[in-house]
Amino acid sequence: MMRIHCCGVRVVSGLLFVLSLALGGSAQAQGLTGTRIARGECAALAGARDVRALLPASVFHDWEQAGQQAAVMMKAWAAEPPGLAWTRLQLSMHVKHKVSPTRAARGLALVHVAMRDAALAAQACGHDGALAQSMAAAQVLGYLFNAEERSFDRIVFELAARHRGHARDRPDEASGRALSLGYEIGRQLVAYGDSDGAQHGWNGVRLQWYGEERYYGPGSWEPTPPYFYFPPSEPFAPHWRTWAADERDAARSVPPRYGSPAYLKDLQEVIDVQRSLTPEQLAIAKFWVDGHGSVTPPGHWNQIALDALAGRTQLDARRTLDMFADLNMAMADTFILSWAVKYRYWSARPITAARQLLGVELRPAILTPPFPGYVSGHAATSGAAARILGHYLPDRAAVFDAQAEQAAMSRLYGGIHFRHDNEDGLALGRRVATAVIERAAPQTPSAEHAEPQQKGQ
Amino acid sequence: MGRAAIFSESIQRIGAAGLALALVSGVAEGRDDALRALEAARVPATAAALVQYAGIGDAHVVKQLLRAGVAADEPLPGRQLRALHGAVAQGHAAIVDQLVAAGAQVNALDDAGCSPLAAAGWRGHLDIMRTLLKAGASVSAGLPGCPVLHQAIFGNQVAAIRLLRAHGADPAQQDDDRRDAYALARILGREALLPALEKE
Repeated sequence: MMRIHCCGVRVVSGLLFVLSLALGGSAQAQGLTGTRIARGECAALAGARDVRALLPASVFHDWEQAGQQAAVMMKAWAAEPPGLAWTRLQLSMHVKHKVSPTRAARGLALVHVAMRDAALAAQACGHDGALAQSMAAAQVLGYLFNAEERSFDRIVFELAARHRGHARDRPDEASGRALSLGYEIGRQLVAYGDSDGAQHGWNGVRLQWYGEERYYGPGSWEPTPPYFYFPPSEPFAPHWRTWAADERDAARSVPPRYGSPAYLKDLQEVIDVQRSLTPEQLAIAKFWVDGHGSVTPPGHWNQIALDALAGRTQLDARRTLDMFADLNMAMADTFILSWAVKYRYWSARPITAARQLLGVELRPAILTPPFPGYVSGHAATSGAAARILGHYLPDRAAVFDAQAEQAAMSRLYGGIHFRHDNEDGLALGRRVATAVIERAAPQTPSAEHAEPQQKGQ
Repeated sequence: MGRAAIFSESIQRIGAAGLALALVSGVAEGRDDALRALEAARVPATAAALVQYAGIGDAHVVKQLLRAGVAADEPLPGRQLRALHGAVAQGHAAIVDQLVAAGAQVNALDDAGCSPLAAAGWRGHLDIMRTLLKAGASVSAGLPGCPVLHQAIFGNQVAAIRLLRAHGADPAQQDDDRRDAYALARILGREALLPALEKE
């Protein structure tokens, strides 16, 4: 038996060696290293499209606005990596289209992984990284915001024209190859997103959810005043595909038992804080509210990351790509796992528990969101974001952690979460961030090999 | 000829095995009909669907799921939540009757360690509590994590407390935080419930 095992191992090892040679050769031919989703050969990707056929052509298209946006982006490219301008554009889309926090986190991850994959592919294949990233971002943004009717494509063609100095409708060969590469990688990310489970339950107009896996027992969630919005937000999000985290990272989140001394103590704290809310606490609650029509909580943390980079003169392009990809994958995963916890326990909000258990009509300082309480998604996102940003910008790690703590506490000041929702949320987010750093990040070049940011890279 | 005689004669004619086959065929036919009805309604014949439709109160779908062979007592995959828990908490009396008749265990605990009687008591669904008690529900199920009497106090349900006391619920029993029913009522400022805790 041992001999058979021995020989079996030898045969398998031999096969693996041959396979590794084949894959190694294939990878060399592809030229793509470190990409998370993108696959393919350089020549095939860069030559897949005659990009002139992708030019939006309609009398209804507003090229003037696209030109203005491209001009703003070009100005930004002179001082920072090209992806940051697209991050800002995506945040403005969150405001314009009133994106939900869970959808925002998912979209940010898709766009930023697309940009990193496109930049890495462009570098490996010898094409213009800024244009490839931009085209990849435009494809994913077009998928996420299809009501924008190809406005992102128009920006890319305007960018290419200004960046390379050719006519908008006559891209030169270098632009054409970079745009084709970016287009193909963007479409791969769109396909990836289209199979991540986020479509489940949507009929194209609204969510169809009829109480799947809902808990109705003691202490369970109920729609909350003043709007009693129903159904609860994104009940199928627990089934979305994660980037790096898994159920193990959520397993340790268990709320205190309904009506237990710990639960009642935290409930009384919410009531007391609301009764004696200071102007400073109210300001904190409103600063972090990030509600309907805002950049959203994950958008807020992208803004914090942009602000943190704003004062730096030497930005490492690769490290910036990694930071935003990891930041947004971590927040997307954190939302999925937070929602898994929410829809596992169906915990009541303080406004409901205060009336049920203590006969108190709570008046929260901010609107109670329409979904179960435990754990706080905002606290979890903040815990994850602060941990990722602190990993990439260690000199500001303490600041990010303090911001995350404040964001978590803001939900208590707002009267919409218990302390245990916030503290366990922070812990969950930090675990997810660690998982992303350990499991998701591609090989980051060491500092001495990292090239400083240069225009067009 | 009386009905009994006709029945006896029929048995002799087709034999016991034939009768059994006919009964099985009837059941199978009923199951096929139910499966077709569920397919038309795009409802999978699963325990998850039974839990879902019992919770939202669709008695027709629950009936078809049971006819299709879904076990009345099967919990959600990987969980302890059962159809009876949702039906009692939401006050769906007809579905509770269906599930109990189909063999749902009236003392099964959910993921929070609460029994159906605890959920009904929390909401104050007295008729459903009586149905459960008649079917053998224990006033001690869920101790000490989720005592039935404690849940009725959380829900401020004085009539439910009286009903439970009448069926032997002990207010001196403590939860896992060492609180008996009297102490819990006082902690919540519900001294008005104290008389109901005394046996009438």
